[in-house]
Amino acid sequence: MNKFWIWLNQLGSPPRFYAWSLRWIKVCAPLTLIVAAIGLYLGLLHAPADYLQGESYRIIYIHVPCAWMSLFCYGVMFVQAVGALVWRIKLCEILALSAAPVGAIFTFITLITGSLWGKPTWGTYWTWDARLTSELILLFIYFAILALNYAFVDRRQGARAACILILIGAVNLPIIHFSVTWWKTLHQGTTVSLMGNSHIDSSMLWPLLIMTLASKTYFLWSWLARARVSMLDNERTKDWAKAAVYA
Amino acid sequence: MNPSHWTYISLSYVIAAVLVVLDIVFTRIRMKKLQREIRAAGQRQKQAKII
Repeated sequence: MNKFWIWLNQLGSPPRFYAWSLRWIKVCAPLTLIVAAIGLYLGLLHAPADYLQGESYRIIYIHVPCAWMSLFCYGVMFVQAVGALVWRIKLCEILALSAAPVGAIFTFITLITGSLWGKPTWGTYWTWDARLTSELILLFIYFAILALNYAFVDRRQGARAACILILIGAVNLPIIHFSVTWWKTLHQGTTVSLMGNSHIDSSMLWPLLIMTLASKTYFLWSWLARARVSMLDNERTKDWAKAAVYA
Repeated sequence: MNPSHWTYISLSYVIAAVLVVLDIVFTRIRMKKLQREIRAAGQRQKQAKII
């Protein structure tokens, strides 16, 4: 077994994860604030206005990173849910379910900011477009996962049921991603592409990438903080948990 | 009168900021509450041993 697998295996131990995650939270918290401040300055004050949409396009600096994160969060949950169901790793269960509220927040912000961008751009807050509807379904899936997790008296049974729902709900991810190509939608197609050409000027792209980095560090911060709470709650009777609280 | 573009922009960022702050604050409150409960349980255990 190579060093990485040994390290990963050791990380699965609750006291080790509890200490390790605190170190990352201490890095991610200030990093989020600094990166978001730079991104907001560049996006709101420095980037030029769009020739067609005017100033309202600046909503993309919050809308797009949150939309990407709403899918990324679910991807993280999916991987953790596989780990929890196949290998029965308790830490994976905690990590999968701790990401759900953060994913729900990202999805909610995506829908609200999309609505607020839609009004001045499309003339309406909402339309039953494929992209918008599939994103709304994603929000409902997040809510269902959270509800199912708390619906059982036995916590682990609830967590396992929620993990199964995470796997089923993953069907919605490709639907959201490809909705703008599979159907004729009011929502615009892909503007920023990792593989191909991005149809956005670099003066507008950079603030977007910086805000995306800020959303990633915020996700790590919130995700790990939530996982630490869940882990301590599950292990509250163990000696290490008592020692960690008194430390 | 139609709201200006900046009204929509500021509303978007304010809503997002409020949600993010609430998320961080509530998680912190949950952690503090849990730590208090664990400490209280420890104290009760100590007292029970003395008795």
